[in-house]
Amino acid sequence: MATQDGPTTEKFSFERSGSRFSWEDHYKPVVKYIALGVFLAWIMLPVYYTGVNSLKGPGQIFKTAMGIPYVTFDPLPFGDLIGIITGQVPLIPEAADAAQLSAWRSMWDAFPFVEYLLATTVVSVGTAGLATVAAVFSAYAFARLDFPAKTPLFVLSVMGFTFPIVLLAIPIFVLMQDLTLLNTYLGMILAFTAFTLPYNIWLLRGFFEDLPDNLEESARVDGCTQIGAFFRVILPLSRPAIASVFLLAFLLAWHNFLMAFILGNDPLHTTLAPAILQLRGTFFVKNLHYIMAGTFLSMFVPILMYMYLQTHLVEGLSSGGGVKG
Amino acid sequence: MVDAVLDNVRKTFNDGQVVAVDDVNLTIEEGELIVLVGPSGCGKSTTLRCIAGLETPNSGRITFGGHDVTELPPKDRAVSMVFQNYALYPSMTVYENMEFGLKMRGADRETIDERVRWAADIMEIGDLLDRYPDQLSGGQQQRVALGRAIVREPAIFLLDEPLSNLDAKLRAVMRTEIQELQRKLDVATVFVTHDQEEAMSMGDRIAVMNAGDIQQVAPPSDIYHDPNSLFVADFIGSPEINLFRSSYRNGTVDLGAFDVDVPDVIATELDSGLDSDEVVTGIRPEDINVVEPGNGLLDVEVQVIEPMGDTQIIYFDVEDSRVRAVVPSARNVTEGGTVGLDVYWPNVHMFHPDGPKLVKWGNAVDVDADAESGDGVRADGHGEEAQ
Amino acid sequence: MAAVDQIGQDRGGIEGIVDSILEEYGGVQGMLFLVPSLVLLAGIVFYPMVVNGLILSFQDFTLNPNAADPFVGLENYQYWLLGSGQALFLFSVKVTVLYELLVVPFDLVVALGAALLMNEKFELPGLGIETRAFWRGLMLAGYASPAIAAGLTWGIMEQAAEYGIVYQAATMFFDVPASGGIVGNRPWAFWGVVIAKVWRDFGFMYVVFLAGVQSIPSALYEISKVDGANPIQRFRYITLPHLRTVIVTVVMIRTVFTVGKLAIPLATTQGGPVNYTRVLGLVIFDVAFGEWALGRAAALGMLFAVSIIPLILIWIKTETEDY
Repeated sequence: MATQDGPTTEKFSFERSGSRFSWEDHYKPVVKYIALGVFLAWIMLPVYYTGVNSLKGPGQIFKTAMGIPYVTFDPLPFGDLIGIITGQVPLIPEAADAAQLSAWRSMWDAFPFVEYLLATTVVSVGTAGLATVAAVFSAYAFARLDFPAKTPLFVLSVMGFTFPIVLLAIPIFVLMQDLTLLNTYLGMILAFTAFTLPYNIWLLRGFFEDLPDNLEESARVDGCTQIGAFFRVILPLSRPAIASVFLLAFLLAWHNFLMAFILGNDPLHTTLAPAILQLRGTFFVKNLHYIMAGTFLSMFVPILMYMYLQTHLVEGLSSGGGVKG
Repeated sequence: MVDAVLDNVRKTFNDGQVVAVDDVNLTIEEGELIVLVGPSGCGKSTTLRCIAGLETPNSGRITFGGHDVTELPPKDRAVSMVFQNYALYPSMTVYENMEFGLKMRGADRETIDERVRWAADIMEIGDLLDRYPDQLSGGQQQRVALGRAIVREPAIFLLDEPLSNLDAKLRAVMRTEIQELQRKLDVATVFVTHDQEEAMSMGDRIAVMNAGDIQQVAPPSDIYHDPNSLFVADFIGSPEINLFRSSYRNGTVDLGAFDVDVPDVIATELDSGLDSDEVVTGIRPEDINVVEPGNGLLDVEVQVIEPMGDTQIIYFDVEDSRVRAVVPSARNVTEGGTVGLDVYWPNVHMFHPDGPKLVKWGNAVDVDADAESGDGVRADGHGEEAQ
Repeated sequence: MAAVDQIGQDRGGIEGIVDSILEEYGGVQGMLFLVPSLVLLAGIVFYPMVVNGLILSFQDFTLNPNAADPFVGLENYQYWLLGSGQALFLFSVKVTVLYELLVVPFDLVVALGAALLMNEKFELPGLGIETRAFWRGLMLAGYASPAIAAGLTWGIMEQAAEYGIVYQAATMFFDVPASGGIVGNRPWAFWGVVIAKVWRDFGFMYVVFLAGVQSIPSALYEISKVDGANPIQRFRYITLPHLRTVIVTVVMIRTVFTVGKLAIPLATTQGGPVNYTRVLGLVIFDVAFGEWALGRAAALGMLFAVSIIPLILIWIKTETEDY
């Protein structure tokens, strides 16, 4: 304890206060792995559930929904897919075979799966392409050029994204009906662009804003025009960001249920999301494994993309996704 | 060889609400390195950007070697520029960065290759040509930025605070390198900085800017020894000049702690230049000498001593103001001790409280008894530029 | 030297003319860049919203595209505000507000937890291989899934059946009625929807928080350890204050984006039992594309739009004020 004589080492005790087990060294390493386990169990549950059950027959699902599927692995789905493409396996299996096939294989029979997948891909790629090309130009203008009425135009441009899609759905349905674009890829791509384009403008504007200030100026001193600086310097270095935004728009289209549901009802012209919902209505208990297979596929493709995207995504969303640090 | 002339260049922003460059006149001679220095926001970068063509002046004229370039876009001006953040193109290698300007101007492959290798050789970055900017250190990026700028044989070479992102040691190295480079290229160069020390050590001439105005253009030693305004005197020099708010009456300047009777020539200058009895007396720290107590103008107590190696900075309080003196380290002083102060009067400046210099003692009172009266002492920032 | 000759040399030709126009009128150039986007948006958002959406809300929609839709004045609005649709309207507003009030805070807590966890290192013991990036990716599984797929899967898992594993787990702790399971009974259905929604949505906030947490200088944590702060205090006095603006913005975004969404309630409970989980967006959807009363649905949409415009404007204002 401190004495009257002034500071001495006795003022300090240099003894451990509290337990010798510290949070940092002893509890945290354990707690964080438990927490990781709990989190992952919750997050992966639907993925695992749909994944394993898609490989079971209905009887097996009812017996043990969480168990590993009892499959003979005779009909691996991708084996079939290759077979179908090469023409060795008929697209529609014969009735006698059907009973022995797994959910994945009989999906092709019970459910026009290839068509849905194709339609979803075409629409998603088309939407992402259109929205990204248009967005690159206007996002660049909003981020780095000066012109009159910039803020109002920006608000107008991103408004469509903040608006609930259900409010856009009715007018767009009527418009597409008037233009006889129902059940067409073009109609769906245009309709999807209504909400992906504002999103892409938003994200890319954030990206362009974060680029160093003097790049275009340096290019202009080096002999470019303003437009030349955009094409020769800004675009090449934005390739990764543009690719990310393209993928995000692709996923937004892939995810969308409402627009696809109202604009298309034949299998060739609607996407996976409304298709699996329709499946529930028509097949439910008897063909639960089909729903599982469709659902699993609709999740699996985007999950793979997100795993690939995630590093870009953290930057993209946090700089452009409406959040300033 | 090209010179650049700025003639009444004015640049405003926000519809004229902000005047960044206020009718500036400046001539950059052929082959000269001129440093634009001033506090941040004084308009020095905007002036440079006007020269580059990145900004178009609202009024005034810019000519390069007699050609009017005021309205030309940057690509047609044959200038090259180094930016503070270097602005290297992240998606290009060092080689591609350097060849870009030549490619844009349609040079053929061999010329490009030859020029790039020549510039890389000068900047000693020949082994970095295949790297990308994010694989380089700050110093290397700086070299690439310089290399990219010299590759094209510019008519005018512009540098916008190129050293401010480097650490102190590297900065000192690059200072001399840029000077050597500039001499080798023999091209009119404008170097912008906010660091007065950098300005002093680099410039053939220095242009001191404040609030959109060029206050004084002169070689470094003139800027230091004969500043034409309170602002220039205060901005240039480290440790800063000591400024005393003083009053002048009937041939006597009252600095508060002591009075001084000024010679008649100075009294005449002050009488004609002042509109009240207020005057600001400026004394550089090295012009204050420390003597035995009782031998000087007054005795003071030493507050703090900062040893600088061969010299030391001594701080003391005169009245309410902190005063700095630079004396040789050999002089034996102690913190808390009492010393006498003496002033070397020929180097003392008298300023109007609004800023302009009235007189430098040594200029008016000819120390060598070769008097020429006070003519030419009143400083005029732009005067010496006319040819 | 060649330098002098280069000054003032123009490239000439068409390119030169275009250049000089663009250099002269920088503003026009900015506008030119906007043309593709504005044309698209005008055609597929502004025009239909104003012309089709607004006009339709005063009409009685007929499915036959060749027949004209008769004007009915304010009847559609009257239906929802005063007429027989009033009860459903008011109830679904209540459901929507409650849904927001549950989903957004849950989202926030889960996302913050995930972000803090994923800021830790997960080195494989002994091998020194950092596995964090992989877990970080897996955390996004929900956000990557289509909302319909998420709702469908959770809805199936919440059914009272052998395969309804979430129901099975819940009965261990709660007294969930066996007829209907979680999705068919009050108040369980609401929680059933919320859990699916949070599973699907928390990834967005997680990504944003992760970036926020990563931007906190580690020196702050070190100095606080020297100052003797415990982990909870470090969270309270360093992490939270640092994330404050991010949290406020993100809550605002999620509130705007959750309102009007309908896929998860639709897929999980179809709005049931009865109307218990029927959010406003789902009502509009049902009326429009279930009953094909597009005029009525458009009127309800307009009411909805007007009520959320302030929300959107506040958000956009905070986003553009640095302009």
